Amino acid sequence: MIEFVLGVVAVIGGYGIFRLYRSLAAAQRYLEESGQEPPLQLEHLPADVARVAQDTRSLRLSLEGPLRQAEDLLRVDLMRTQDDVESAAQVFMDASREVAEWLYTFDRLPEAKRRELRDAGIGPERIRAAMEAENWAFELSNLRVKGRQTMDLRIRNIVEELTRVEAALQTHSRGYR
Amino acid sequence: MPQPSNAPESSAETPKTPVKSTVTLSIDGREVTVEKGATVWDAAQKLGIEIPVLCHDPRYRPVGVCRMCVVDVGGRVLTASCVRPAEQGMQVTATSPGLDKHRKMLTALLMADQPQTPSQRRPQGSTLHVLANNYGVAESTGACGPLGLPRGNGRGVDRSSPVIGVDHQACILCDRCIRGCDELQNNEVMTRTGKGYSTKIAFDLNQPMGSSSCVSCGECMDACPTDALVNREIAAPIKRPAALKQVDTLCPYCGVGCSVTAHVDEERNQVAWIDGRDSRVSDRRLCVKGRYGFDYATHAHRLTVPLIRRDDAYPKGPLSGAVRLKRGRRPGGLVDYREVLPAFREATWDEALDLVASKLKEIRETYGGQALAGFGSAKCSNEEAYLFQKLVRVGFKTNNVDHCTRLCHASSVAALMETIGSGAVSTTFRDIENSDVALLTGTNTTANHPVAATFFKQAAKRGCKLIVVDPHRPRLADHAYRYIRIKPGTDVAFYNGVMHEIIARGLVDEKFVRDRTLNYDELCKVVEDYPPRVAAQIAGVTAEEIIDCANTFGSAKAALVFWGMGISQHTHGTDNARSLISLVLMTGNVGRPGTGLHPLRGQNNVQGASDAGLIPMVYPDYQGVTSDDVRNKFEAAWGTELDPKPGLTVVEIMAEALKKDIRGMYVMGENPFISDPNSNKVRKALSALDFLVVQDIFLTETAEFADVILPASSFFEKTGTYTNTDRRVQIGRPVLELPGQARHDWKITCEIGKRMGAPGFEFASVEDVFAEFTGLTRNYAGLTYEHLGLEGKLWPCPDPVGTDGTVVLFGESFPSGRGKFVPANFAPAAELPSPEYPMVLTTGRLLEHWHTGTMTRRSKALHTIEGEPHVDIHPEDMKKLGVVADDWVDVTSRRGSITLKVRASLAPGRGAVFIPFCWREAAANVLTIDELDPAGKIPEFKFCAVRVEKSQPGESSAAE
Repeated sequence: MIEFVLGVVAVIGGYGIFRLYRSLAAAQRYLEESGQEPPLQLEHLPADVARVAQDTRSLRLSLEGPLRQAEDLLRVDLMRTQDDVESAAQVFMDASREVAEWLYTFDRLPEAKRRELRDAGIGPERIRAAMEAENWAFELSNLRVKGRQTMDLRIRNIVEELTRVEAALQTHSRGYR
Repeated sequence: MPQPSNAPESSAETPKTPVKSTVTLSIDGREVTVEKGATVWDAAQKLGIEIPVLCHDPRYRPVGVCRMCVVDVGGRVLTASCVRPAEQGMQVTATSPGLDKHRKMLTALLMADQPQTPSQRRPQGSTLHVLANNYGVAESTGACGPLGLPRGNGRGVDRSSPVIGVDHQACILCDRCIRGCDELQNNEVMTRTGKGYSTKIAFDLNQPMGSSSCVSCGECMDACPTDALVNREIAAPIKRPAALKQVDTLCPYCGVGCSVTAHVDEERNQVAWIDGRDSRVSDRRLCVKGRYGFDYATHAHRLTVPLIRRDDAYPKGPLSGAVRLKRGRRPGGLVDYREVLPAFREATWDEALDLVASKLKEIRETYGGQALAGFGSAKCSNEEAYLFQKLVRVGFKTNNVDHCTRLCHASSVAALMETIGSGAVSTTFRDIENSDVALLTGTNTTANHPVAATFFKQAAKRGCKLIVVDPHRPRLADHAYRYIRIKPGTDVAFYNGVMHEIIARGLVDEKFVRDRTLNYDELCKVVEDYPPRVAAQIAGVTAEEIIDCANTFGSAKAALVFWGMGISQHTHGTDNARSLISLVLMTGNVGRPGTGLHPLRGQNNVQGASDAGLIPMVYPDYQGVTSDDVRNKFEAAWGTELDPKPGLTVVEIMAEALKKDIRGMYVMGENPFISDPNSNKVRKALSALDFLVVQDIFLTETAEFADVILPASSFFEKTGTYTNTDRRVQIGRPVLELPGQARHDWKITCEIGKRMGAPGFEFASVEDVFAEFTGLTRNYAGLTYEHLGLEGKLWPCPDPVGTDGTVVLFGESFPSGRGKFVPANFAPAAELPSPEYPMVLTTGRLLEHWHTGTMTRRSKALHTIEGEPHVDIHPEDMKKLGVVADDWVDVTSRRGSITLKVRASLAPGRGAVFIPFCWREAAANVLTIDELDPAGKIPEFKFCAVRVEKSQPGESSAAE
């Protein structure tokens, strides 16, 4: 009798585990196929660094707008109005401010934490350099600059660097293991 | 009990002029006598000897870092004349070949480090380049400077600010910008960073300017003697001043009334840029709106042709999506012309004016004058306000005329008139220079009167104790001796507690109370019930805070009280103002330099519009409509019979319109749909009107309900006088040409008056209107355009030729004779928080945006800096609500709901939220309550109960 009960429990338990794995796999598949952002893994990070990770993702996502704007402006469009151009300028100005604010969140981290992150290859230097090269603002007049990439590519570089920082922050726990 | 320590001395009115000691010195062989303490540079200036300077400006603390102003005083080395005090018998050589050689060398060294390719140029030419030209060291190109030294290019450019470009390479580190920021504007944003060659000016902790805490006042740009800090192009290309026209005029925004010089591109009919102008009001200082918010006047949305509503656009109702919606997220920051204009057709001026006159006449003849009403504007000039109220009184035959003072300081004026018999400020805001204590309450001065705030901050640095009392922590609290956060709506209890303590400590000015006031015993009886312990409990502060406030204010030799909408915009706003007036009277703090009452006026001409009679119960100069003598005087002057009944106020007019008792309205330059409380009610009221004519420069939300829209003139296109918060009457001069067929407002009003058959609207010029207005008043009597000149005059001005006017009023007596104490008991707000609506909403302005945003949201720079609706919430409350910064939330009151983004801020305090009312797409007045103060008839914008919830994505918006 006991064996029977244990057997039933084992079967039910096994089926439960099977269902759980299957739903997890389905969820994983869904997330992968839906193109949605996987949730940030921040449990291992102290609060201020976790905040940087969140801000990094927010900035990366919000730069999609100016990136599209830059791509759009670089295409010939005879229907483009002055309003469209002005609203693009506004988007660029907001984006510039957001990047500067992101850099500031990094700067506000305690020196020890910044050093630790730097040792793990995580830092704002490339983005700072990119913004310095932009004179701290994405400007319409600089969509195309001789000797440099077009603005969409320059923004894309920043997005890629942010993606790298975001990923590195999620895997980073300590600089020295 | 100690005796009152602040009893005025008998000689207080005539301060003795101290005998100043002087020194005599010789500069380049010429003798000059200057006050002791003056510098050699000052003495040279007096002689007309030009000593070049780069780091020095007489407005800032001299530092002597550039060494350009060195002179020979016979010492071992040359000395910087801007810091060297003049001494008795000093022999100074200010001009010599040796000194020239020295200055040339310095200039060449500085030029050597200027950028090879300048990223920007000061249109008037930088002081450094002028010097370089003079010394012949400007002409050098290529990689080497004039001395053959390699040019530097190690410091970058910062284009992050939408209004100021920063080129660090052009900076010579003279620190003028830093001193301008620290010492004049007192914003303390700028500093130096780095070491050695990499040293540069920095914003905050070396942030890009555009994302630092910089408030974009432009003081640093104005101070810069090089091309390091230069205005960016806003509307028209920036050209050399010689290619532009310079017009001395005023800022069109707040009640401070700053003096400006506009540089105008006449060819394009656009302002290229604006500079501050030396004056007794603003001393060349400006804020971001005054310096960079001018381009609204040339925005493509300007109305240029009269418009008449099409027959198929009736019945009337809101036309744009944002105005139609009752709940949810509204589209767009500006009225969508594509949605609204199809409901109107273009008309000729004759057709539009005839229609207006005939419709208004028809309503008057059918329903009587009481069925008509007019809203004037505090943005218009004194002359326009005077004519508007005259048209309503003479043409409409009613006193139903009001303007936005009803939404701003009506309760303050009611209290002032009742207690001292005058609604005006008793002294100027710059009189704080003579105060040792200043109480600032219910005023967010750094946002609403930014230039006045710079003088307050300067006073604090000098040692004046600022006591800031406000439920919403203003930035000025950073400079305060003490900031006291009371619970919203508990001002009366707090000040009763303070007065209780002043009496208990014997700090009352017994002589002043005895000689100059009435009803003191009544006050004592009331405040007896408010010991600090009790008052503290009501106001949510500590008893110690009340005691310290009482002690500090009561012991002051000269104390001033400034207040703003935080006091007045309550259902008990008049009681709040009465309490402040009592506080001032009992301590004798009025009628002497550095003392007084100063309700800070909001609009640039709210003082003047009120003076001109744009108030339903008084004619110009506060002469009551119910007085037979006064009415007879105006009937004789205007040649017609006048209505003896006081008219309705702003909110009452809307309520009557809803009941169909008001059937026709003329709105000039106001936007009640956004500015009045309870927008959903206003929407119904405006829809219910039989006839509405709106005269404005843009298609406002209110204009969507109009039958006729008349294109008017902006501030920059007209001549007129404006009276600032200090009572200073100044002339605004035309800067731009009118666009299209737009007309001057005063001419439109006169035309309507004439077509309605009203007498007295045949004026040849705006100066004639001013003459008629001043002739009917006591306070403006004698003033003419000629007298006003560039600086204006303070009213009253008994001798307009020889004096600037009266700074301190009520030195001997009050207009009412004695000042009357009117005690007040604490009463709670009209709508208190409940479990369903647990938070308190306060509304107000932002530094960058003015009122309903019709002007500032069409200014490129201002919109770029602050472009999105937000609600300020305390971080603790955000945590409770489960929201983070930038989340969308629904804010709901019993009257409606809006959706906007969250911004974390400590300013509103726990349990309260703050929403600026400039956002039409998230109009705060959808939420506010239209309960009125019984005396001032002002609505309670500063208190209503709301609920805040995280907005659900995809939540539908419900149209009414």
